[in-house]
Amino acid sequence: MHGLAYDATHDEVVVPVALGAAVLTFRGGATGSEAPIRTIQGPKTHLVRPHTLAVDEKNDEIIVADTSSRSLLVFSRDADGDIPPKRIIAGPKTGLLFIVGVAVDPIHDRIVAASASSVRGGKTGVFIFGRTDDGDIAPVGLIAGPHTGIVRPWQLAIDPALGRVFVAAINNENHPPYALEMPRKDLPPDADLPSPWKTGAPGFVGMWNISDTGDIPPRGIIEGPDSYLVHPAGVAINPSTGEVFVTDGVRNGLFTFLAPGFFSKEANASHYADPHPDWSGR
Amino acid sequence: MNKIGRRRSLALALVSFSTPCLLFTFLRPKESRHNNDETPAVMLATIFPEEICLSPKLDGLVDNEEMSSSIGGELPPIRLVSDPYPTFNGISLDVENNRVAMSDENRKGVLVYDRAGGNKSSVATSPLRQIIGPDSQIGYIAGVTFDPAHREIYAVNNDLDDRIVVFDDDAHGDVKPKRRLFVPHQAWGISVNPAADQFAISVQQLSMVAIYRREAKGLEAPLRIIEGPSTGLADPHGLYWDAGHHEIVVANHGNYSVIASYSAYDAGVSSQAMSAGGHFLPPSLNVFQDSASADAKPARTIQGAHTQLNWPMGIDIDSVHEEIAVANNGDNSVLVFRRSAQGDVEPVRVIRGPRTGIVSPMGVAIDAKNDEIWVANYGDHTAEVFSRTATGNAVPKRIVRNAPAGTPTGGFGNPYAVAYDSKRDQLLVPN
Repeated sequence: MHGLAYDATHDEVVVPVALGAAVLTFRGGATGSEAPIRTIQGPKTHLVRPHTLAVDEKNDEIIVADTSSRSLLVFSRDADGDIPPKRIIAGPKTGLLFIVGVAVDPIHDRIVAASASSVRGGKTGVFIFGRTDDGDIAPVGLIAGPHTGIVRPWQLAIDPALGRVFVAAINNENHPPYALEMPRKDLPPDADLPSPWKTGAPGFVGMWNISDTGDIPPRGIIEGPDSYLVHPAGVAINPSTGEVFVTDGVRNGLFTFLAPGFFSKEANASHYADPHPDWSGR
Repeated sequence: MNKIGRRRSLALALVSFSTPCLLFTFLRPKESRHNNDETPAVMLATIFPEEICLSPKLDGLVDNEEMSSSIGGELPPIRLVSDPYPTFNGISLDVENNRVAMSDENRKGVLVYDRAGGNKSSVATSPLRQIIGPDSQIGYIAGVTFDPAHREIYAVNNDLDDRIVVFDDDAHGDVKPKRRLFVPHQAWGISVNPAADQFAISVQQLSMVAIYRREAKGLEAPLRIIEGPSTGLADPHGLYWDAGHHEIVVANHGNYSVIASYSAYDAGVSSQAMSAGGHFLPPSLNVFQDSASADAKPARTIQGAHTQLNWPMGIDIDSVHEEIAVANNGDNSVLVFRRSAQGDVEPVRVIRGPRTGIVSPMGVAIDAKNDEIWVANYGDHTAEVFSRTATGNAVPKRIVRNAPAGTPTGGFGNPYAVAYDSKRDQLLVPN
């Protein structure tokens, strides 16, 4: 399970089940093997491999990022059963492919997705859509390129009050050897694929504005040996305390950083230095 | 703040464990926020043993003063939840050579112990050997198995790495595997059939069993696969190739959907998968003829409310006494069925209860020769040895510990997300 969201307004926890093509909603205080209070599952849902999700508490919606249907599926928050999505953002104009992060900003009316593509002409980065977008529509913003430092993004978090997007740039190189059941035909039999645990590009947590677009460095960053981060995958925030929470699969751990500057207006002043200028040629 | 104070501020907590698909809740005392003298809700370890700790060194924790004006950069964390000790997952017995191997998912390694090892002591048990380190290519490991006939040991990386690595069975340290075979994403269980010179693996997300040549390496394709709606395979985990009865037994969690391309390397969208919808099936043990392939029906299925199956993980078969043992992760138990059982049957024995010490079991192994049954716990730093016929709230004969008694487990298994519960001031982390 690579995603989840907490809905503070309704005190609920919402999780995707990738292998069961479902979205489950639990009581906020659920524990043990307690059953979900709602389940979205079935052929009408268009769910295939729901990877992660976000809850729009203001507009009563759940936004699901599905890596197999290559789509962002928007459901009513209280949807239960085999219910079709209200809106679907998908198609070649969207640029979405391997969508592994999603967040919603109900103040600036934006849905933000982290997507990676290794196909010819594909884009890897942070895709910003209008919140009510529907269909095969181009993003209004795309944060991507060598100056962003993003080799592979993962989970996203948003501070809607300031319009800030936090990106866990896991940055490990993942070369899947198989296309589902069989070895990839585009790889030689003796291919020496790197272990994702042993790749050279360290990850970081970067922060951008919701209005940012293009190949631009983050405005704030947590990185480097002192951070202990290797390939950070998860990110969440608590703006009221200035804390940034990060999970890292290599460390198999959960980190808390105190970074009040990320939550002050002054951080808008300028972009942080290019996180990895030596990557520009990648 | 002195070093000890900093060490004390490190670890938070764990409440409960899961298998690769649950949530952890970490308590974060409000009174301690931004206070480097905070007391964590639960200490993982007062002082981390740095000589075995893959977690970062502890001296970099930062004072609040250093952080107050920062807008980023090389920030040290103010808190870190990380378990420095191994967590047992898969288990394999080599009775002839008196060894037991267990995979360590937390620190990404394989530990080999004396089969007769363990005791009632609260002290950690010393392994005979340990394979660990980047050259080993062991990552988020699940299944492990000995092949005594060829003096080898196999390790299956479950998530991310998509590879099986094979070592000589006396390998130790950060050693390169003698063979490496790439496999589909989310392989979990493994079982070798030396007589057939093949091995089988389970693959979670494809709901599939794949059979390979024993010495397969690189990108060699499977000889055949068992996959499809008729198989009843649904998020398979534990797998055992019962060569004596020419059967393959597979434990299923029950999550099922029609998989479609999802990676960043494939542009396609499957309309068939889009319209299939997902299903939650009852957990099961599915038994196939070992010559089965494609969308074969199982010869037998153990499934239903009476079975008590609940997130069945590792399995093992006792060919002498004709029984199947199941590490039943969902209710902290070990279930034992007749090997030939089918349908909605009750287990012939259940080991469960507070005296057993069984917590989130992942692996089980039967030692018919010494009349024992082993259980590898993920929810505690232990592997336990019971009498083979133990039942009920039984006490283990001896315990192999990978940490001092009472050390909480971190419980993480490749944590790739986090959420903040502002109502309870808690952090939620799925595995």
